[in-house]
Amino acid sequence: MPMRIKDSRIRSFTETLARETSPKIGDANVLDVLAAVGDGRHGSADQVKAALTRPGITRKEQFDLAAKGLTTSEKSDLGQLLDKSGFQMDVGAKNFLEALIGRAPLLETFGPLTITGDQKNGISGIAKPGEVIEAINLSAAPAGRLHLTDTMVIGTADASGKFSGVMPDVREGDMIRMRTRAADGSTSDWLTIQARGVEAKDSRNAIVNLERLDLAAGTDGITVTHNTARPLTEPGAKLRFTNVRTGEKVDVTATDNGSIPAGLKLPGKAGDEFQVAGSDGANNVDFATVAGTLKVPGGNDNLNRVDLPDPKMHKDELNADGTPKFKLERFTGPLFIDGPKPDDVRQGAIGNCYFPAALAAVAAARPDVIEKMIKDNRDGTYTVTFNSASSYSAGRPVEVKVDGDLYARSYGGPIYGGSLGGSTAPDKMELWFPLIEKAYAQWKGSYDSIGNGGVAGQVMSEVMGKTYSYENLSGTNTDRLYERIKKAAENNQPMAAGTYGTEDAAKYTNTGVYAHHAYSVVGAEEENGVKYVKLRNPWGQSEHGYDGKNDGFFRIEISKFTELYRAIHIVNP
Amino acid sequence: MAKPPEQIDEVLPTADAAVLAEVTRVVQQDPQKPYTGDPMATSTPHPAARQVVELKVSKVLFGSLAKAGATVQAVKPEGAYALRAGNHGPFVLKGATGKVEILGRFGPDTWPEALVDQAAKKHGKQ
Repeated sequence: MPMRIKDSRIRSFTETLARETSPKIGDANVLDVLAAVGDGRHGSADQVKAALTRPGITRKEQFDLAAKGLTTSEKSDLGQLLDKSGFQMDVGAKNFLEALIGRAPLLETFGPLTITGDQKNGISGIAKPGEVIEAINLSAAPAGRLHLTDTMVIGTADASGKFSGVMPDVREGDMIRMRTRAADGSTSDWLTIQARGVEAKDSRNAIVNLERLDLAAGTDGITVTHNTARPLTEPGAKLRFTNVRTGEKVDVTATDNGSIPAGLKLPGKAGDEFQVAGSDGANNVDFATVAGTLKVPGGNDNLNRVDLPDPKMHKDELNADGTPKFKLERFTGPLFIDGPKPDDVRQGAIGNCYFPAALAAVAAARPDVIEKMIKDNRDGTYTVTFNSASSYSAGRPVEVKVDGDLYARSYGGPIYGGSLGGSTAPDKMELWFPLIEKAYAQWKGSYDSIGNGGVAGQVMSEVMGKTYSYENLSGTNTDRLYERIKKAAENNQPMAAGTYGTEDAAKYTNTGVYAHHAYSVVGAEEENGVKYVKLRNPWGQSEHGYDGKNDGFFRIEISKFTELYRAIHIVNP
Repeated sequence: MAKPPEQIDEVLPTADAAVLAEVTRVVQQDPQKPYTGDPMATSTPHPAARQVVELKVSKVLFGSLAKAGATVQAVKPEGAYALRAGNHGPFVLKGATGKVEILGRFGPDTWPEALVDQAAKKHGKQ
């Protein structure tokens, strides 16, 4: 049944509110209703509204002002507002209306602890009369010796429940935690607010107290411990831990108690240093400002102690007496930085293009397989698991253990497979590809055994533990081939393709595609009716066409693909 | 054969000239050894045969083996690539007039002109 509001001001208020998405009568706009019923011979509605919003006025005084002008007709209007409007109402606002029509006694105050307005002139709000308001500045606390319960009293609620208090050193954006304490000593739940209106700009960043953090090396990385009940930083702050040696970054969010998430682990080893930066979401969001550096105790004693035999170099890199032309260097960088990706892979100065092309293809389609196939034994050695699968039969796992020694150039970086996109320094370079390549050389006999050509499909099988199919591309139907590649890419099946041999070399010069070379196939796409195959050169450079990047990734029209490439290899589902 | 290109800094110190040029004709083509390996394999050591080619020089990046506008004969050694008329790009050369050899694992596709130019300055070739 529709409302029939008679008082023009209440009707106007109702109609205006009803047009809102979520109409609600709260502590503020209920005063408009009180002013509408309080007007009359005691003053206009505007005059009553002014009196109702007088600083320091109590709820009882507000109620009395409204009740003074209340008519029978307006009582009916208020009843309809309560029963028929469907508006949401705050507890305090609803109690005003119920008390005015005699349904309920006026609640002169009400809990729980509520903060009103901004904090320009301190902290104000409502609580139960007589309750003490206790507060702590969580943003400043990490710099001091305060526990979270080491609060200060900022005020006491008056007879109407209102309180107002001041805390020292409150800055814009600070996190303030409060509770009430009753006369019997009982306390309320915590209420946390972020200070607003104090300054024009939030310029105090989250404080991070590094003395409250301990790092310890374990078999599964670095354990981070918050060593005290005092807060480390403010709740919700973002903390970034950067391993100075490897560049690996781990971001975490501080808990409600200003601590680190339980069970936090960082990738690294004994002796590593971690830079710690914090952000409160408004300042230092790029983590450029570092709070300090923490060092993991230990190091230089046990992690690199194991020295395993290394596969011999390719014959091109051996002296006449069989000694290697390059020295071994111990690489201790991380296995992965941001997980395995095809663009991590860089073929070294060795004729094994089929191998990096295959590994990059698996990294593109199934990075999880790469992550699982190599394990850091935390003693300077790594276990790599291949599979004896081939094009026609699934095989068995083959474990190969290698250490971090790689043949290195005199001016830095490994001579054979390396990593792209980051440092090639021994303690920083991402190691998954060069170590898997080393393990492959170890398994097959030497770098010479794997450095005189091979079949990319065979390597993909040995990594995936699945059979593979290959298709000769000479005279193939390009539409069908395009669909086959597209479907395989959608199914996350690794793919690689090889070009024709050097007897056809002249047709490759100036095309950006190279003879007798293997490429990862990373997808297929159609644009303006033209079908393309997406490929990656395992050199990490030198492409067909020019896309301005020279990162090894390129696309080629499918008709050109079948002209320049001899065959495609696809790992079976 | 498909090793990556050599780093320019490894090769340039031994170079005598670098030019932008186009192959106008193949003067001599040595017989190509047949490939007998696995046709699905790549990177097998099966080089393309030696050639002697005629290069029409359009620009000299450094050196005095040839002048812009001149034609020079050069040997493409047995290796990972082959040339035919119309191929073009930066050719890094070694030797003396009458005995010029093309350097770089992939000839004119080994390094872009800008990289050769930059390295020539670095190594005091210009």
